[in-house]
Amino acid sequence: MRTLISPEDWARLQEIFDAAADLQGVARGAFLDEKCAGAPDLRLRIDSLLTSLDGNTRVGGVVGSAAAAAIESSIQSELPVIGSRLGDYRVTGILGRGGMGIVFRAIRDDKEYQKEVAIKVAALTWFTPDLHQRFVRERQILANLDHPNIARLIDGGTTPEGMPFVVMEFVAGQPIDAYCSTKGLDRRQRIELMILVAHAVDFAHRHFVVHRDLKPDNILVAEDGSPKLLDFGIAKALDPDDSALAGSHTIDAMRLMTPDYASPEQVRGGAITTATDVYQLGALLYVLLTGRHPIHLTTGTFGSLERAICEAEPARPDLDPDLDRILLHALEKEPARRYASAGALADDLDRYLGGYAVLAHAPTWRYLAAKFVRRHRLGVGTIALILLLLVAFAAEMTILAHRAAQQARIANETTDFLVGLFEANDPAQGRGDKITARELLDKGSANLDRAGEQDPVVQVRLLDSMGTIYNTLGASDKAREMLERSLRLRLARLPRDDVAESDTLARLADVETDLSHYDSAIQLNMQALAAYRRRFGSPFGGSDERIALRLSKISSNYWEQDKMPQAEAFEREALALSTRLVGRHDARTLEMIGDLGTIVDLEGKALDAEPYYREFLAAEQAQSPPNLPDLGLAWNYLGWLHYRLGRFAESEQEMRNALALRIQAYGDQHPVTAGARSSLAYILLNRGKADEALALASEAKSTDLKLYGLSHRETTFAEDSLGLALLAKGRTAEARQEFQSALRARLALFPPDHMQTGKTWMFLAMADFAAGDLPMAAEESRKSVDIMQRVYGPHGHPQLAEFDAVLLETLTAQGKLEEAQEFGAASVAKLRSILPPGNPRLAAVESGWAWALYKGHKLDNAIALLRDALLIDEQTYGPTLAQTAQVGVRLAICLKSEGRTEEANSLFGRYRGALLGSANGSYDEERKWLSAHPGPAKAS
Amino acid sequence: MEPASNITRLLRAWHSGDPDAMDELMPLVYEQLRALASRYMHQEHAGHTLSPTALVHEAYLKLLSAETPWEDRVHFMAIAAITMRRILVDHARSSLRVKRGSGAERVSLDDVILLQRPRSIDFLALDEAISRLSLQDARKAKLIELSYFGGLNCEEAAAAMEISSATVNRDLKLAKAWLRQELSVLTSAQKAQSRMNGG
Repeated sequence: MRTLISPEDWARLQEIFDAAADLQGVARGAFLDEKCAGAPDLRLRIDSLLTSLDGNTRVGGVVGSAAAAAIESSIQSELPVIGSRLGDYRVTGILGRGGMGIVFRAIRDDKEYQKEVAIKVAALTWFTPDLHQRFVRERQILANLDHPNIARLIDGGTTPEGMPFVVMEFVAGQPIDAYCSTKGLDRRQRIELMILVAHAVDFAHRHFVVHRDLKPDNILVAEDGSPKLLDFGIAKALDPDDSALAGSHTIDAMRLMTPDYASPEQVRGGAITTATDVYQLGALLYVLLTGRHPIHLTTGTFGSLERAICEAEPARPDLDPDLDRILLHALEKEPARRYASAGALADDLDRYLGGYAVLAHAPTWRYLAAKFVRRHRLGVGTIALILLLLVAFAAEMTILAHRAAQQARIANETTDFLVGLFEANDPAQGRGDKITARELLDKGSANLDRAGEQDPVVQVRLLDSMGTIYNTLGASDKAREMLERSLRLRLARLPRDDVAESDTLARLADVETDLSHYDSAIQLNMQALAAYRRRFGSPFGGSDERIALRLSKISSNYWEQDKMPQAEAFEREALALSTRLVGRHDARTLEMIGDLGTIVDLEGKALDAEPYYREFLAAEQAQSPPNLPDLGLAWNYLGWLHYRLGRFAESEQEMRNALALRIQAYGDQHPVTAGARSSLAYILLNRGKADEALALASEAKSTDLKLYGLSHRETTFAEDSLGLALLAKGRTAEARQEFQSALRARLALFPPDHMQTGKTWMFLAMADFAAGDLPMAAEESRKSVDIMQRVYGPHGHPQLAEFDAVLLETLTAQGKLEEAQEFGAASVAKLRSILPPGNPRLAAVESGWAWALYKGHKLDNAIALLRDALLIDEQTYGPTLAQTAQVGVRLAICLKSEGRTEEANSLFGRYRGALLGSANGSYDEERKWLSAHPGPAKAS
Repeated sequence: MEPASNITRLLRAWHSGDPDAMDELMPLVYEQLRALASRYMHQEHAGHTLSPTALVHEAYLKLLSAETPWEDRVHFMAIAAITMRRILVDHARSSLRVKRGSGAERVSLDDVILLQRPRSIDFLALDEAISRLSLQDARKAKLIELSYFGGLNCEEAAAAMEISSATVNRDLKLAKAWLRQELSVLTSAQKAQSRMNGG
């Protein structure tokens, strides 16, 4: 067809078109008659263009669909193929796409029975942990929702390509709008159907889940007329742990939903609450009853969509006054003005059908509370966050009640409770603007105490949330008190709910862990684990990642108690399950990989640990944007690994990386940053950088003191490093104080036979040895070796090397040469079998044994051992470190007493300076010897 | 060099008539758009609301700094619009090939149709219509490209084309009507064609 015309005709066409476009009806016709007189072809064209002007072919829509198609196709290559298997299921077809995934039809076809299911695969080739987590959250959410009108979750897993999937009940039915029209349902039947839907939504709300994408495609109605809610793909858990992040879930809100059913707060990127679902239910009912959308959306641009949804009042449905009121009440722009819950909407619809007066337009407490919040604007930061948490809880409280009277009562109680909190910050009460989060919480818990006759559901949830917040603030005792009260109350006044109870038990276990009460933590964790397994367990380990999380927590508890075989077993189980449930690259799985590496590492299998650490580091490095805390952790792991392997230079660099990342991620004054400083200080002492180590360790300790006070495990780590740094600087008495302080804390925190306690005894021995108090050093040193042997068994552990060396030196210095020689021989033999060659810890023991031999005049053996040790130390530390210098000088002394003066003098020359320059009291003997034997340079 | 300043430099070069700058810019913009697009897809429900213009805006935010002068921004979006159109055309063509050719072995034919609704045809028709429009009136076709593929608003498009906003509005009104007319004619012609073929 010829559509192009000459430029002149085109210009004329444009002119007439423009003018005509502004005219309507008869005027337009008359205008065209006049302008196009004698040009019927032009008239035809312009008429046709004007028709198209008002037409509805949306160029933007075509472009948008093309873009969507382009993107969708990029992910298809990795999807399962029809006929392939996923776990126990055989894929038989494709049901469609929804949410972030593709939904397959499949059957479970083991011999026993055949069952049709829907499998939703998260088709994400470009799979960020964030998305992964979101998908897994959906799985989690579904697992908790057992309701006849909500599609049930059956199973979950990960495809061989690493895409997680959920297996869901297969729902044979059609979308609710299509169902209503094919069945020719009348108004009453449509309302009855929507009441069922609203109750299902309400059920989800009571399980702290908001659907936020309710639309016909997500509500299928089966032949028997029962509706099923599908696709919690972008559902959001109102879980307390989650609501802290509420803001982050609502980003890109516009992209996450269907504009036709989008609520104003979704378009604006506001907080998504249960009120969002109330709006969508209203919109859906509006469409089902009138055949129109409440808001007429014409153009496709973002701004105009937003304006229409947020500002345009819905057209009056004109059904009948009560029904109109119900619909408009559900569709209020302001979330706080809508029905307080989906249940309340359902009830009002019930009332309408029963001919009773509807409640639409009664003011809701939320509206009042929101106004209250606006009147009492608070500062940003923690307080705001905590208030958000509490406000979110209060919002949840309302949905717990779906009977009007109860709702009103709970609403009042929660409102009063919140108002009580806000009043703490009311300038009228003379408090001014300053109030700490802690004060606010204390005030809250005091209010809770006074509100004796509150609904137990409300009280239990508030106690749980406050317990969590207290623990976040470091007030673990108070947290425990809250959680224990919650448990007692639940037991006494609420129907049995194992899973909910276990969630509280799990929180309590975490608090106990933070309080270093590991036995009690293990017991609580085991209890929660057993309940989760009863509910979600399966032959593959289970369908709920709470199982994996508890397994991992139990592992950490054992780890803290130094029960490494148990820790390893639990961590391996957790890792396997988590890999299956959430995939290998999920942040939680990665954490387990890191933990397992550390456990294996601490068990003395450093080389086995390295692959886990490397996997962890590589995964973190691949993240964009980087997860700074975890990247810091990855370097920290490798830093300690290389420390244990005696590769101090690598270790130093890794610890520096870790520290830099920690400062960036947590700020300067944070326990994790303090921990990184302590660690780096510890390593630096093996690099001859005692000054820097001292500065870092002092800073770490002062941070820890501020945050935790004395007698906290974090503080003891800083004290270790600080004590060692002081020792290296010759400030032996101060060093001793640090070790004493750490010992006191550890004796209180750990059982007496604990690696940490054993280590502290060794540090004390080192300090006393340096101070010349040999009997004391001997006693402490024996204690430490005994503990370590009890902890690790007689087969030995790389950790033992340091302990042996201290005892060896002490025995020799005490003149117990025979015992020292015997102990040295046994220790060196043992360490040679368990340490990689060239390990500096072996050198330390060889040097100690050699010194005992020298004192016993067994020079040949002594010289051979010292040569070996010196070689190792030279490679590890270089010639200028006191560690190396001590061995060098010892070798020189041996050589000199054999008469090999020349070689001896050259060694003295090489190491004299380094040793005299060190203030560490542990080298006093060699230093004295050097002073008594002025060097050849001075002598000659 | 910082990506933002690099892009700014290329934009200036392009605007002052250096054709090579375009060759350098295009891949950068392409990559960014592709990355964003795949992220969008993976962020659920793209099929309903994915807007290429939102992609262009986001690509701009990613590639340019906040301090980038307004003119550079407009030029960037003009280029992104061209790129976006190319991406979509390339894809629509290749997906047609898949539908007709051997690419369907992974899934049955029904599934392919279900997955790739017959949009590519619509889109290629639109693309051809825009190309035809450019034969009739190049400026209007360019404006369509800028607003539908690049998301430029009236003021930005006016700046990019160095014309007045009033002209942009006038041009777009006619251009859209023209395109709609073309497409509706085409659609009915295609339907007639397929009926004749017994399809």
